[in-house]
Amino acid sequence: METTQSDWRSVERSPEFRELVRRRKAFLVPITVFWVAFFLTYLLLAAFAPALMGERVLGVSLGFLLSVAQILMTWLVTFLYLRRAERVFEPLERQAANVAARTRPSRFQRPSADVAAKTRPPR
Amino acid sequence: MILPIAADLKALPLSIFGVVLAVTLAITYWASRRTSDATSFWAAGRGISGVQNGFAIAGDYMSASSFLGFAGLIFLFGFDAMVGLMAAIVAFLPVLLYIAERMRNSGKFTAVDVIAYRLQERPTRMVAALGTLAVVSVYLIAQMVGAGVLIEALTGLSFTPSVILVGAFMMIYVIFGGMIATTWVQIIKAGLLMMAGIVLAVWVLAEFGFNLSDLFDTAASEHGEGAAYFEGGLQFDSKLGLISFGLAFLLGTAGLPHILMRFFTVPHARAARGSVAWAILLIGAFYIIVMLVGTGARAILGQAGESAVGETGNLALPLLAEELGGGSGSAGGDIFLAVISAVALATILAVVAGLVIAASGAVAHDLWSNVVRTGRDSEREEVYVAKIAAAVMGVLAIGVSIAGGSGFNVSVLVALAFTIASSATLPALLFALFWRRFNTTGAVVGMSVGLLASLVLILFSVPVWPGPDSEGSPLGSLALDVPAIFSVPIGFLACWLATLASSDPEAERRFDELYVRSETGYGAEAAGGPGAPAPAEAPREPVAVP
Repeated sequence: METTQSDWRSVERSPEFRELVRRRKAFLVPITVFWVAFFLTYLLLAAFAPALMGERVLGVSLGFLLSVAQILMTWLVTFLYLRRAERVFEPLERQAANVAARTRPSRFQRPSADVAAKTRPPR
Repeated sequence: MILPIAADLKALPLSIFGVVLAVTLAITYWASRRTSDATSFWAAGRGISGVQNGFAIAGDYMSASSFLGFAGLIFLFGFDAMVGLMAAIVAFLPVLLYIAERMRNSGKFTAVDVIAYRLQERPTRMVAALGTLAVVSVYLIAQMVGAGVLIEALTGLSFTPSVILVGAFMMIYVIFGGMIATTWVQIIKAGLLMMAGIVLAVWVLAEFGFNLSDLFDTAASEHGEGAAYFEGGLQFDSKLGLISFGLAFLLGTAGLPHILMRFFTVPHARAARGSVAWAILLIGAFYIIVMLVGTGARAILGQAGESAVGETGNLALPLLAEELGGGSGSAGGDIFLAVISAVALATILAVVAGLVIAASGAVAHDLWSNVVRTGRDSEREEVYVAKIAAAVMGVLAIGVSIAGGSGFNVSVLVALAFTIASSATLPALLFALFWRRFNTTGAVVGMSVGLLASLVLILFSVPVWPGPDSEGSPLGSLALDVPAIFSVPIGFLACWLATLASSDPEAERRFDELYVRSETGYGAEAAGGPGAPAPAEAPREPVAVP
């Protein structure tokens, strides 16, 4: 029941898997920079610009508006990720998983080396 | 003569409590008939849909500290507390973008499954499970103590029986109904919480003729600090204190074991992704409500209300409800107060049940099954141990909460839980998933150091170290309420350095397997309804991607 590591390695090196990882990274890196910067700016403003946060804009305080903006930003990033995942990542995942299934199907179908399948006696 | 369990029992809130408890018991009975094997006990048979799991995550995450705690903090301190709340919602972006789907793809029941996947199981699981237990038990005691104080104030039932009541129901849900009962209690609680929040927010806005400007003017004028109420700087002694508080929530969420565990209850990675999106939608909307209602409490209850809401502000929302309903003693006031109290009770029950089931996973799945018995036990034994663990954990939590009583500072305990989660669990989880070089030494040393650093720094923190403003604390002016800004870098550095100082080619080779599985979903644990055969025995489709 040993799964040979070379199988996984060859999947990991397959063009399909590399394409999935590349496309995902191309999305995740910039979006990560965006949300981290957006939140840290808010956190630093809250700490170091109290007078500005207390300014009244549209009847409410700027700090409250920027807080609501954090929630809107979170919703926006979530929406963008969901759309990208469905349209781009899922088909690529399927292709890469097919490579894994083709590589050594007889071995892969047995969940041997993972935590999920210790040598449990059948119930 | 009956025992002196209560000074002044309030019939109305208690009877609504009774209804809530009866409904949850009915759910538990229903769930118990669907809970047989380990997959149904911990993962609800992986049959929870994305939307359902989104509600359940919201119900699992939004504790009484989100609902009553943060509204109270906003009542007391204004803007600073809003910042903490925003950190707690933005915190779901790392969960969505890097963790949820990979967790579902490569784990079975616990986050520790993923951390230990390619490392040496026994040492890794031992330390990681200890981290889980540390987070869960600290958080559990915080919730139980908070529950006791709250129920006493709201119903007149005194502290000790309140804690026993909450503890007993939590154990019943978990032991008899497992994850299925826990999930549905969380879903219902999230629904109740959203409805109560919407009613409160609309009512508050109506009081001010839906004129936000009027609401904000009144709130500022009702605060002793006036304009500073919306400028911040009232809750924390230092700017660093505010930043560190925000970081703890931002990074701790992605390391909370009871939240991560929820991703194993859905059939596939797509549902895991969808469930985080639903949770983000619900929690974000609720946090806007909390900000409005907290500000509204300040505007309506005013400075006169400060003595009544307590030192932590926890009673600001119930008192606001009473005031909106017509004031103390009026029928409307009593009813609204009772309803909000019942929602608070449901909130607490849903969270503590989620915590106990996470603890049972750490003890039975990680420690007993995989460390002590090295996987040779049967599933029946694993579930049996899990139930014993849940019972022991419940009894211990009740005992410690009663022994410590309201002497425990709830906000310190919550801060400690988020600090450990962000400094011990999160670094190991991220490195395990994304860094090929990461190895067992790195995980064991890193998690231990992260855990120790959190504990030591909390000991030196402002609320714990004796003396006003922690004078004489070894950290001097760097002693903070929440030390995450120091402990998180320590946790990541320890993982990194200990990894570089050692070498484990086997862990690096097996990274390919984890990497392919976590990124593609290939070979993920199969979905199946309650009672379906355990995935390991079921014939597998070559491709288990939705």
